[in-house]
Amino acid sequence: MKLTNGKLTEVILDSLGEGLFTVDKDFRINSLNRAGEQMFGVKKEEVVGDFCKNVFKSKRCFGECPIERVLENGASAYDLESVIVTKKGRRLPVKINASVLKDAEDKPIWGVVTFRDMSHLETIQKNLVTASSFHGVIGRHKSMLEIYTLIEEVADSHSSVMITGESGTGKEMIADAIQQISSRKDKPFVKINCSVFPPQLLASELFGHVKGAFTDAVKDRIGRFEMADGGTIFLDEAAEMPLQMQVQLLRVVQEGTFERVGESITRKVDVRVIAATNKDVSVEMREGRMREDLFYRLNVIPIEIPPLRHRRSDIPHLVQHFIKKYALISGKKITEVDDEAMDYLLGYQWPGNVRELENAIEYAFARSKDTIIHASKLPLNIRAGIKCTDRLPEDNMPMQPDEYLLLKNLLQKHQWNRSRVAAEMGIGRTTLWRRLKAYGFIKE
Amino acid sequence: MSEMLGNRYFLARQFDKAIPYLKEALIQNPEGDKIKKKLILCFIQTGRIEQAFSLFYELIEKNPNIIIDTDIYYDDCPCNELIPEWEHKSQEGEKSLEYLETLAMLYLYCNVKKSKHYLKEASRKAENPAKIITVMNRLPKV
Repeated sequence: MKLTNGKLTEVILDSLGEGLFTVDKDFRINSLNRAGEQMFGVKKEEVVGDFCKNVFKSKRCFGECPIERVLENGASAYDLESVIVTKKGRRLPVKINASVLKDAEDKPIWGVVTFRDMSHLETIQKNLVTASSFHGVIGRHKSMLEIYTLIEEVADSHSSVMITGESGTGKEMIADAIQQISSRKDKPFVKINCSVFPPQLLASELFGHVKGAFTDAVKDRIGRFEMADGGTIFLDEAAEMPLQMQVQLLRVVQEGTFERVGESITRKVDVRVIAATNKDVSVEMREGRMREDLFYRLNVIPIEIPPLRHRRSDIPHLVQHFIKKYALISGKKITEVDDEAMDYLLGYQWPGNVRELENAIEYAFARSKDTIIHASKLPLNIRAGIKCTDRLPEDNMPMQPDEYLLLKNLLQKHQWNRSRVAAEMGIGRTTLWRRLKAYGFIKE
Repeated sequence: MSEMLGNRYFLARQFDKAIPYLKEALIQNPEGDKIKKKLILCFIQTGRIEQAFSLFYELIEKNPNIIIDTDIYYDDCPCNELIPEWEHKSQEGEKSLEYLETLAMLYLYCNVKKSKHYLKEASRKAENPAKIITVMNRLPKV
């Protein structure tokens, strides 16, 4: 049987796993595929002809519409996060892609939006929220608690923030936490890694350009600062920005003004800047790679994240967090690491910090068939590189005489079988290990 | 300039942003009644009452039903949101001619009787009420 052209398109769209709808130039829905019908709990016939904002009721419909963004920028939009409301009133987290279709005269006539159901990720995230977590940042070490307090204290401030720390310490997660509790949390949050763009492209990325500003500038394009207007911008690897660009950045930070590349019109934005670097900023300034005036302007609220080797008491928390994460992702029933593996993890120097630890757990997950990660499943460099020079810092757990006595009695009762002690106390072996360490039952 | 972007700003009630795109669309399509209806509301909300009334007059001369037949939901007409804002303003001071014209225009999208009431008041206030009276005469009896 032959399919007519219209029918063929419908069949193709219905075969997609992603939801898809199209709108005409008035933003009335003119098609919705089968996956979209299932996600929203509606039939195509019920919504065709209605305005998309009346059907999807997403916050984006009233602020940052993805099609509006495409129309303004001229480029398709990818992976925009949003929440839509289904017919039954359920909030559905989605990731959206959007583009427009144009007629022969290059005028936009249709908008196309595809969306992926991301509710499984939300479930994972919810399950990962633990007592050790501060808006997704894991750690209870004193230095981390001080950072959390600082973030809460400056939540309503619009001042610039400078986050420093070695690679892999979680600078971006700290920036996320700042954004999440700031008064700008519902406004745009735009991130850019300054080290990945050549100087001329970085200017265009940050400030936008006008058509003809350079060879590939075929149409006007807004920059990240304009996208972030009213919200926050995260400048990762800010110290690696060319000096000329630092002058322009200083002006935006100070006055909120800039010009698009190839244009003389001065534009004004209201953007909070969070910058991050893994460089030693004092060295960068001394050697002339970073402007002092910019640094002091960005460094209004400085946050220094300690390397993992300086907060080893957080390693068990992090290990537990990553175990939960990869158990949810992989479906494996792994719940903990054995004592020998934990000794390796606690003794290793972690030059790649939390990122390296996560990779190690992911690696061990891939190799493990048991419900426990054994030392033999850890990456070889961790098993071979146990040359800890730092002493284990004091865990900040308050000493409680009752708990000390309880531990002592249970250890005697079970002849130092930690699994049985942990089971009787109703806690995990990792938690037990931390407590034994804190009360001095285990020496390094 | 894209009419679609103008429509989007109108839907998002960003009337100031919508104006240049809708004006351009009107140049491309001078008979675009839907565009004119939107522009009237955009002009009102950005304080350009004279421009709004001029377009309003143009549509009434052509056919008052273009505005009267507006479906608040289907046409995404914001008059229900805008009228209370404007009526609230009357409590703050004297009812100016612009104020009366504005409510007359807004009410025609949803309530002809009230629109006529404000047109009548405006005609009393205006030094030269010819256009207002023409509009009143073009409206159906209610």
